[in-house]
Formats: sequence, structure tokens, C-alpha cells
Amino acid sequence: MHGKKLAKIVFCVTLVAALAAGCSNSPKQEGTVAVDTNNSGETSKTPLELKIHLHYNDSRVFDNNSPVFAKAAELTQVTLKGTASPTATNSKETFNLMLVSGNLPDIIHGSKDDMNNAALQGALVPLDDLIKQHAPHLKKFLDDNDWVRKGSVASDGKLYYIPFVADGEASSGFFIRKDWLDKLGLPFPKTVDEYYKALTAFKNQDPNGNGLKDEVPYFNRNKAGVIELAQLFGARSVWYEQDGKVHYGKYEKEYKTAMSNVAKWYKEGLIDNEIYTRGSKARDVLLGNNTGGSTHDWFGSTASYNDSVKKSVPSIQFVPFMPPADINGTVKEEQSRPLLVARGWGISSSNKHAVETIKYFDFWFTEEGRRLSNFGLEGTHYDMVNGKPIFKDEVLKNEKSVLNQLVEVGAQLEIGVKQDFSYEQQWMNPIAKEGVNMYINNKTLLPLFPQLTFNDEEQKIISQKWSSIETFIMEKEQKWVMGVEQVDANFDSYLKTLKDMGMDDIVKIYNDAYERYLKS
Amino acid sequence: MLRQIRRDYLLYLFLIPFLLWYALFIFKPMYGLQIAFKDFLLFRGIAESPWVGLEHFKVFLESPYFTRVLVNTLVLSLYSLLFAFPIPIVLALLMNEAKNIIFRRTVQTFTYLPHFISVVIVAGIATNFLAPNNGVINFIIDKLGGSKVYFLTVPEYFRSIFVLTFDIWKEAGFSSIVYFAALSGINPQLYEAAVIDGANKGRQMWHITLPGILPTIMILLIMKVGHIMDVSYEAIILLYQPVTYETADVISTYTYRAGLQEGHYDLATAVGLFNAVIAFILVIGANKLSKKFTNTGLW
Repeated sequence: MHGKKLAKIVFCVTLVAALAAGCSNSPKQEGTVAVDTNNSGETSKTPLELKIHLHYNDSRVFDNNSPVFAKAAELTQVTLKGTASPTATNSKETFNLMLVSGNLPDIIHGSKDDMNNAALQGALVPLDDLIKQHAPHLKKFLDDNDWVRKGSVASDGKLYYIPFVADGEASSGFFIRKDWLDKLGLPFPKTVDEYYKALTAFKNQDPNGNGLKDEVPYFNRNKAGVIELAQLFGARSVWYEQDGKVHYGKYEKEYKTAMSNVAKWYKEGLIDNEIYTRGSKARDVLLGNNTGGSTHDWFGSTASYNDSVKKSVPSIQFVPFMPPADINGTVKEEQSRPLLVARGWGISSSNKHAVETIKYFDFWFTEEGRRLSNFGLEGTHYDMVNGKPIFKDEVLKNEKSVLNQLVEVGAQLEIGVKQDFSYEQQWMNPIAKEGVNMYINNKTLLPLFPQLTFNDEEQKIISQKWSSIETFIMEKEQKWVMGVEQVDANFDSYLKTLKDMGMDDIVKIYNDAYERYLKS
Repeated sequence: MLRQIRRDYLLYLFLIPFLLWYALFIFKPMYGLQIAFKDFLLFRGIAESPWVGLEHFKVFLESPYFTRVLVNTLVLSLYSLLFAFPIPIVLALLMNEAKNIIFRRTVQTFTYLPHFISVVIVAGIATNFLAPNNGVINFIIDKLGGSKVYFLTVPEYFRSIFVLTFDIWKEAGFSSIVYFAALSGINPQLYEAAVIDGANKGRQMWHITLPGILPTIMILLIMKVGHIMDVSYEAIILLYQPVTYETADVISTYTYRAGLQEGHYDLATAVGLFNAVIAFILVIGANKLSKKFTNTGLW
């Protein structure tokens, strides 16, 4: 009897636990905005310590002992002190916890959506006026690059955070085994037809010479790698603007042609038939065992395989080539690095030194601040040669990567600052560099769709409809590629279902938001 | 009652930390359940967020995939109940008959080791075993003259793969420990009496062993019924593909994509509450049935 009673208690409590999982309590927080306007605008002469919340990519945390920020403190009299726990491993959660704790630090760093949501609830102060009055460098940068502000403002049209702005837009491109092409007497494929022929030759003519038909002509470590081929057939796979209207690539008729061709390639074995489960190790496996022929991936990391698998595959020449011209004869690359990173820092509403803080933000937009953030410390990491920062030999030849060395001292942190691609170019793999320059100089990169800002009403509709729509699209896409369903026979009903699911509403919302973006 | 407490007060003192734990970590957070009915704004907090009534439930129930994910969840759980639940019992019974201690211990250790491997690794092992080109399974199929199958992209195979990997291979050994413990609690005199009465092994198992562990079986079964709605999304996400959504997409994975990834804690809470209410009803039902037919139940 006793045992049963205990079991009963334990059971009830467990059940309750299941009910309550995932909820948390939070104290009340008044969302008033108070900007200190008494300060006359002189640089802070007395040393000032500001608290900062910075935790992103689930791993990077503000380091109080960072030499780069110590140097910045020397120059600005402002010392930052991080509040995010270095042991936390979930940035979004950490951000939310910081918000609900009711105890806001002076500077808050976070992703665009999180920052603007928090701002609209009163956690951040608007920056436009502060910038105009106290931050000349920042103002000039924003005036010169209006897309930065446009892509960062909240739905009330105000700017609440200074974003991190990346540099070097070419990110990924097509790679192919040059040594295989040479062996088979083929040139670099210039058109989609030539690419098709090259991949077919890889499949059938045993370029790795082991007597087996084990070559995998096109592979990719991402599931989305299949769709990256769609651009060769004149389709887009993302949101894009054309003739003043916003379209979604997979809701357009070009997508049909692309999918039926991709499905054909898959069926003929030109696309890795394990592409959906191969996973992140695809390049290690397929390049390492000398069976992978071509991929579409990031320049830097992909080029490095020429060195890392050299031992097992001595002949390897895995090099980038220009995107093959699509079926309409256009040479273009859809994937590129978004220059405007949806992340940055802002001033919290409990900050009593808003003016000093915006001046501190401004420092990172001075030449000196930008160099500090990009190249680290002068004399330790780089020297000025002909007015340009050049990395020291010790840094370039160190066994740790240049990026890691910089990250260790607090440089290359994604705060509100403009990145300088020349930092990366100095140590980039020469093969990757060639690819990057080829893609940039030939102007193959399609313009990236800007980051739109939606209002509450729009956001609500999107969150209600989009996840079903996306589920449907991904399901169909994979079924078509794998030949479970025929593209031609099903495309019309596909479009109709999307229409029924509210795709037109979503497209309209994007168009409205885009119009606002152009006007802002 | 009071006298009992006074007499055993030391024992009751032991309860305090656990009761405190429940109060702080289970009952207090239940206050947050209200966000299922609110438009939850983080910065304003739970109390200040505006009420929206059943809005989140409506969004969930009206989503075009609601029926599919509900059915998938139930079917997957039933599969697991039907095929994975009896395995540990069988394993424990077999183990109980093995008289060589070293053999028994070795087998036990090997069968419960997979329990300690993380789901990510188990999913990785499954993916590798089932890989179409170099996977062991396809290698065997190929040698036997069959044609290779890309198992993880065929919706019809998903449930079997999932139950086999996560519910049977990973957990069967560990779950059998409970039954094994129950088995050792059966009075050996019963077996002796049965042998004298001329009962063979089969009869002994049917008339002594199984009734002996039936209460344990029933309790574990009822607990399992309570979890029928929460198929773990971590494991599914690692194995599913858009092409297998039609059998693999369950409530928790759908909510994961729609709710948590986007930070909609209110929607996710509403779905959690919905699941918990159904689980609650199922458990009460299962307990009633169990009491009616076997006279054992949780309460």
C-alpha cells in the first residue's frame, strides 16, 4: 500500500514536470527609454567602465582580458566588461535570459531579430540622433552605405544597433578536378552542356584509373547542394528582385525546368546518390578516396583539400572555375556572402552614458579602430608597410591559423564594425584567392536580396504560414530530385497547393516590405 | 497518521529535499504555462504579455500538416509500443534462464552499453550502416544478389529503422534491467513446488515467471503510454529527410521547425500543453484498463 502511494506521488509529479517543461518565470521589467541628453558631447576624460552582453554563434563570448579591447580602452578611456557566461553554449537563450533578468547591461549585442524585438519592447534606445550629434565617422559610413541602415532598422523605421559589416562578397563557387579534365582531354566547362558532358565523362570514363566506375561526378556536403545546381537552368532558389517586383525562386515557372533537369542528372548518376545523407564529411571522404569530381562550395575551405589529401591522392588539382553559362547563356553565381551581417551592438535603455557609448561605437569606425579590429595589434600582429597593415611573418607562419590568432586577442569579433577583406587575402590559400578574384572581377555574383523588416502583422502571417509552406516545398523538391514523383506531371498542382497555402500572401508581404525598404 | 509521522519523522525528513526540488523546479515553473495563452514578449515578462486566448492552439490545429504529424506521432509510438516494448521482457526472461554467470554478465553488458551512446552517434551509425554505396546492409544485399536500397529516403522504411535503432538496439538491454530485478524477486519456492507438480520450463514461465513480473510490466506500460505523444525530436531530426516527412515528421519535429527555431516559445508551450493533456488522458485510461484486467495500476 505504502509503495503504491509513493508511486502515485512520484507519478503525479513526473506528469506535472512534463506539463511544465520549457516554461520559465520572469520578473517584471519596465520598458522606459531614457536618453541622457545633458552630456555636452566632450570625449569622456574620466575612465568609464561599461557592461556588455556579447555571446554569438553559440560560442563566442566577450573576453575581459582581450588585448584588442585593452588597446581600445587606452584610446577611448572606455573599458568593457562582459556579462555573458563564457560557459553558456546557446546564444539565443543567453540573450533571452539576459533580457528577462531585468538587469540590462549598458551595451547589448545580438542578432537583428532579437535586437529589434527587444528594442520595440523598450530595451534599447534609438541611435539615429545620437549618431548625428556625436559619431561623425559612423555617420559618414552610414551615409555612404545606405543599405546598411536600411537592412538593419526595426519595423518602426528606427536604427537600434550598429551591425557588423563583412567584406569580400565571393564566398562559394564551382570546383572541379582539373587533373581529371586534362586526363580526359576536356576543357573547363563553359556552359551547362559542357558541364553535363564533363560530369558524364567523369562517370563513365574512369578518370581515377582504378578500373571501377566508382566516381561521384557532382557531390556536396549540404543537402541544399542539389538546389545550387538550379541556377544553371535559369532558376533561382531564393527571394530575388526583378523589374521592381519581389519573387520567390521556387514559386516561378523556371523552377520547373530546373527541377526536371536536376532530376535527370540525379537519375543518370551525375549527382551523388547519397547526397542527402552524406553530410559534412562529404569532401573529406570523396576527395580523400579519389572519387569526387566536382562540387559547389566555399572557396577557402574547399581549396585547402588540395593540400590535405595530397598524400593519398598525389595528382589532385581541385580548382575553382567560372560558373558554367546557364541554359539562357548567362554566367552568374547566386551564392555569395551577405555583406550586411544581421548582428551588431546597441545601447540599452538602462545605460546612463549613451553619449560616451556612441562615441565609443564611433571609435571602431575610425581608421585606427577598424585596423585594430581587423588586424590586431600593431607590432605584435602587423606592421605598417607603405601605409598598409601587413601581417608579420611570425603570424603568417604560425602553426595556428591567422584567424585563430586574431580571435584569441579579441580581433575579428563581430561587433559594430566594418571588416576589411585584405586581412583575409594576405593568408588565403592561393587557389582560393584565384577563385575569389575570378568570381569578383568577372562580376558573376548576383546581387543579394536585402534583409527586409516586417511589421508585427506581417510577421504573424509569415510565422503562421511559412513553416507549412517550407515543409511542402522541401518535401516536393526532394521527391522530384530522387524521382519518386515526376516534375512535369506535378508542377501545376504544386503551384496550386502553394497558392492554397497562402504563398501569394507571403509574396505580397515581401513586396510591401521591399517597397518600404526602398523608401526608408 | 500523526502518530505515524512522529514515529518515523526521520524518514519524513529525508523527503524534504525532494519536495523542495519539486516545488522549485516543477510547480513554480508551471506558472509559466500561461504563456500558451499569451503573446509572449520576452522583455515584458510573463505577467505583462497580452492574453491571446486560444490563438496558438488555433494556429497549431489549423496548420495544414496537423493531421499528418499527429498521425505520425501516434503510429510511431504504437510501433514502438508493439515491437520495442516486449523485447526487454523477452531479453530478461532469456537472461534469467542462462545459468552460466560469465556468459550472462557479458551479454548483459553488451546489450545495455548502447544506452550510453549519444543519439547523434547512434544516428551516425545507422546512417553509415544503411548507406546505399558502402553500407554494410547494402553490401550484404548486393552479395546476396539483391539490388541496393537507399533506405533512409524511403518513407515506408522510416518507422522500422527508427524503432529498431533507437528503441530496440539502443534501449532494449537497459530496459531489461528492471525486469531482471523483478525476476530475481520471485520466490524460488514457487519453482520448486512447480517442479514437484511436474511443470516443465514452459509451464513454469507461463504460471510463475510471467505473473510474477506482470505488475512491473503493467506499470512500465502505463508509463510508456504517458509518453506516447512525445517522440523525441532529436533522434528524428538526425534521421529524417524531406522525402520521408510523410512518415517521419512528428509533432515535436514540426514544432521544432515552426516554434523553437524561430523563438516562438508561446506556440511551443501551447503544443507542449496540448501533448501533455492528451498524455494525461491516455495514462488515466491505461491505468483504468490495467486495474480492470490485471488488478495492478499506478494508483
